[in-house]
Amino acid sequence: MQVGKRLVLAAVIMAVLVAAILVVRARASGSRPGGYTPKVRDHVDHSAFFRDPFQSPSDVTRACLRCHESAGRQMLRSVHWTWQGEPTAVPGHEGKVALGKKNAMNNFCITIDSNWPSCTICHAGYGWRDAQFDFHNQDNIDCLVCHERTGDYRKGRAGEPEKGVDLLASAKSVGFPKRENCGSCHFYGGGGLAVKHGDLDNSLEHATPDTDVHMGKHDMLCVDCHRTTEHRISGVDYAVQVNHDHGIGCEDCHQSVPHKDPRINTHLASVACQTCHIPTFANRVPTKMDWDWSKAGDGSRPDDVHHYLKIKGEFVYDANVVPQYAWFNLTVDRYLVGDKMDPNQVTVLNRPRGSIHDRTAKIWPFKVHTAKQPYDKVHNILLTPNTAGPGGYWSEFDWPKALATGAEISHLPFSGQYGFAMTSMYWPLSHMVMPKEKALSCADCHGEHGRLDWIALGYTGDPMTTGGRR
Amino acid sequence: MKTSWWAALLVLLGLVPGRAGASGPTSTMHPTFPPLDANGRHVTESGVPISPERTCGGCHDAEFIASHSSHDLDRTGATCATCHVEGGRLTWSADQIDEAGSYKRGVIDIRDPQPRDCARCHGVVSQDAAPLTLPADLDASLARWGTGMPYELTLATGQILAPQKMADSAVNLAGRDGLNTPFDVHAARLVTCTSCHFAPNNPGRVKVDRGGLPFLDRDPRRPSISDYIHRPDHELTATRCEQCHDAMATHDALPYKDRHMAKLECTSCHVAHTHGPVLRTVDQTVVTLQGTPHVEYRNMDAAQGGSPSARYIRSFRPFLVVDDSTQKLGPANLITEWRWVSGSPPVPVPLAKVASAFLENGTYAKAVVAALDRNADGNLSDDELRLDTDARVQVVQGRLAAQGVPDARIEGTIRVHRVHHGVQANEGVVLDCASCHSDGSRLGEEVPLSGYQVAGVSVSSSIPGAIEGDGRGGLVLRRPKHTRGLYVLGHDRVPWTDTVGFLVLLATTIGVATHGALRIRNRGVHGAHGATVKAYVYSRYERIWHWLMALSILLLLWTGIEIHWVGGVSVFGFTRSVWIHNALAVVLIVNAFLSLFYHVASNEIRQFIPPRETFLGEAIAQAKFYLNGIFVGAPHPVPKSRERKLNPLQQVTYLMLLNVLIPLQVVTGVLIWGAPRWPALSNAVGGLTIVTPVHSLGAWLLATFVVAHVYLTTTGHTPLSNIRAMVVGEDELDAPHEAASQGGQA
Repeated sequence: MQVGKRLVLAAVIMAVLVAAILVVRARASGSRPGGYTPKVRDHVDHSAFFRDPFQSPSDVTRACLRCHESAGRQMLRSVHWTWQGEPTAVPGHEGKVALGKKNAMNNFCITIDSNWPSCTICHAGYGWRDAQFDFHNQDNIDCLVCHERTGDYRKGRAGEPEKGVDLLASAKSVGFPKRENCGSCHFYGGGGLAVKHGDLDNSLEHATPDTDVHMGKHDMLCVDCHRTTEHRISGVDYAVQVNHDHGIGCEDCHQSVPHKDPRINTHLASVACQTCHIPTFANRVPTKMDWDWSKAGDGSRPDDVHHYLKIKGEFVYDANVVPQYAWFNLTVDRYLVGDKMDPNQVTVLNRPRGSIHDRTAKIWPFKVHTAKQPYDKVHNILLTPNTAGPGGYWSEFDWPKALATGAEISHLPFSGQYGFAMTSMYWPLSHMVMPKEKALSCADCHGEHGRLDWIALGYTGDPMTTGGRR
Repeated sequence: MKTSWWAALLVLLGLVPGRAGASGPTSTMHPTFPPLDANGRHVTESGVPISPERTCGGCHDAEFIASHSSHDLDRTGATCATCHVEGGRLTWSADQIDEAGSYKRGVIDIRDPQPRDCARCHGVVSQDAAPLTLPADLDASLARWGTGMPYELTLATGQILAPQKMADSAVNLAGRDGLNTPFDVHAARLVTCTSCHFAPNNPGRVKVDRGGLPFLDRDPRRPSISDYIHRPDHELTATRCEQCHDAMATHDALPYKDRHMAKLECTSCHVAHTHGPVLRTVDQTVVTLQGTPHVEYRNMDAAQGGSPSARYIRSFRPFLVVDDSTQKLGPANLITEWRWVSGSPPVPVPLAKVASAFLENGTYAKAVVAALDRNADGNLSDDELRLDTDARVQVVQGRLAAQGVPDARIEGTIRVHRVHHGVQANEGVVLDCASCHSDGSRLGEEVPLSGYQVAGVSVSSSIPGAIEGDGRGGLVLRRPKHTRGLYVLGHDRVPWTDTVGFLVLLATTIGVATHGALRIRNRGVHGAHGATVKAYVYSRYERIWHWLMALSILLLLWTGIEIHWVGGVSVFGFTRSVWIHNALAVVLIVNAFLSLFYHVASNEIRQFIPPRETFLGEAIAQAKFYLNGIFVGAPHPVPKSRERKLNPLQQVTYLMLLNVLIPLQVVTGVLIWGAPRWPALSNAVGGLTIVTPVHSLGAWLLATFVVAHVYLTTTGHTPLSNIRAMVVGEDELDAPHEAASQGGQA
């Protein structure tokens, strides 16, 4: 009987252990989505490591790399350095394209070709002022822009630090990137505060809970969602990428069925989380909605960053904007530099793919930025003007010259005849998530005052009465 | 300058999917028709105003509709256009008529009634996204009180039908920031007025009829749509909750849910509060300077000029009253109304007449001021506008006579306004058992009726209860503590059972205390007890059974107290106590049956059966011992042995306990617990109103038994020897008797 008793004892202990493990696991997961976010919070104080002032920014980089040996190699492979992605197939185009900020066209400042010193202010490196920049030289990596914490670090032309920046103070202050680090570039994309994304601006630095519930109420950092390993930062920008590789989503943390109300959960197959949880964008700081390059060059109008700049043209800004909604399966059709376009239609530079019949597509909210930008009337291609480069439009206000120079650098044909064509770009929204009390409710989309155009989305009528697509 | 922006917008409207604000209100489905006057002639010819009945009657059977309408024209003033035309009126202008004489297509928006059409008469209803405000003419609308228009639905009950969250509204609600639920969850889910109030012959709503024929499950012959359009039955339905919701399929967290569903309307919990202004009194015997009756609100400050939205509103918890038609408890408001009537049979005096008796040239007549002005400041303030003395009544009577109303007198009524809208779901539902299951239960709460009384007028109410003065000049309805036919655990009790039970317990406690004190006093008096012998008296099973029974009874008593007396000491809380009580009852029943089996199978049951011949003598002897012998050290008349562990008095007590009292408790307990499942069983013995007090009285008696039993266990060889024996099994028995029993059979 001794053996029997021992067996029973062992079985009981095993059962208790298993139960304990299950209980601990259950408590760790499920109800608290925060259980899944790795809160990166270690910080080694670097202030004792540096004593002497740095002569050049590359000295700082070399100092970093002395200890962080692999960081250099990692950065050389990072999209923040190369401004180019992996070669991927772009629908409607043959072969594979390594698409990135280096070679993509948008309808803000259009392309970086010939305009490098101005655009590369936001490059995570020093000295990219022309096409000959050495992408293999680790000393050109800018560690400080992401890691420094003084808040006084400013980058200037070609990504070099501005005069007067205290490199030593910045080096001493380094740590994990905070919202201010990422935002020092990403809040100012497109040439100014809140121009580009619509859901990224400096109101997120000191966010209140109803500015953004993750950053305001829970004080989460960008890197908590945009998880980074080996300097490869996850997340997708559909201006420079056409699919969802390395992408992140709400379900990465919010894994369990999130709503108590089963009626809301019936929407999950067709409606993205962001659609209901981001009712409006640009709530604190207005964002640019339209950019008319054709109006540029008029010196008689006063310069006003929200209405008109001689170098850029006429703008329309808006705040508390209701998004546009479209089916989106996380891939886009992309207009690549050199593609033909039809000047009588609006050229959608990154049209979201998906439809009511596409089971992988959901209804997403977008900021849609419209513009009028230069195109070649003979070849019917969008042109890449030289704006910030030498002899560019911003210095000489001469469109033919600017367009010719730019076309040459971009290897595009230029007939000399140019006009301005309408374009639009889709920016899917994922930031400025509202607290759940402010999420959209039934009457915001359905019913007489609803904000969705059911027929345009492919339904036969309001799915509340006609039934959904499933 | 702006052309690129507009051009972009236009192009976007054409090409970009899912643009905002797409659906327009105007429908072009309705065929065109000529506008006709009441005589059937074309309005352009006659110049007589357009008649909706004749115009619409060209295609729809207007006579049928008028005679089958809950909104008939005479009573409500509603025409076809009131509900079906955008704007509520049917108008015409020359440029709207085409050459054929009909309206041009699309100039009149004709469609199903929308909530804003119902709002024209039925209360504060809004579907706008703009923050809700109370209408500016809220106070002025009181002049039409009694006709149902236009905000009576809201003012009578506080119901506001709007989809927006209360926290997003512009109404000055108490605790508004925490009210993150919609005013009405149906409105928020776009279940609009016509979703529940529709024409009963609407083919889109007619349920498939099974037919009840063995050869036919579903009859394919359907009413035609054109029949319906020709003759829509306007006796609109009033859908009940259960026609769309199956409450039994959810509500798993609600204990005894079938009992709750049988006794309570859904709205009792799902409209636990309303958040609009709620009237308490409408006094049409006096008028304000605006020509409206004098009113008192339950939850809103009185009008002081300015927008009604600025006035502070506290949430209103409706009173739970029995609905006579369904016999269920449901939420309602009671409004006390006074008004002048004249003639026989009495006919209400129009408010305009009362106004002309009170007012001259827009201010109060001097005679009226003289009669009503208490503080002689020349003005009639809100608390002076009342006819609370006979003299004041007579003054107004005289003035009414002068206006041509000779025999005016005041009558008072209390009207019950039931609450059906303002439904909450999920977080908005207050799940508080104690709101009914406690001493301060909603079921018995008194209803303040008014702040003052009109002289010489008595009011009565269909709600059971006594209408009394509230001590401050006003009236209050004091409802009986117990609702007929209901026994609400934690709230209801039959007082005499508690009194009697308590007195028995008290008497017993005093008795045993006295007995014990006497024994202590006489401790040294009697001599040594005599020789004893250790014997194994109580087997392991007996001890287990005894202590399990003891523990479960003690805990049953404790949880029973928590259930019976919510608001007393609360260790587990009402809900958990119910759960524990039920679980322990199962334990006790199983324990009792197992023990019965043991005692029968092992023949130990003979311990409990007194021997017939010697019973009476021994019982009397034992009684004498307890009353006298024990104090003087006399030997036990019936000594304890393994064969005979209980003396006759004990045998009788335990027989009654185990065969009468505990089974009674178990049976009544099962009836209470099983009332939802087998209502017929508990109703057969008189319902819970009989069963539950019996259970309570039994509990008192059991508690008394516990006191007496624990005391009597101290009457052993030493005060603790019996208790010790029941724990370890061994007891010290008087030696000679043990020897005698050893010689006998085992």
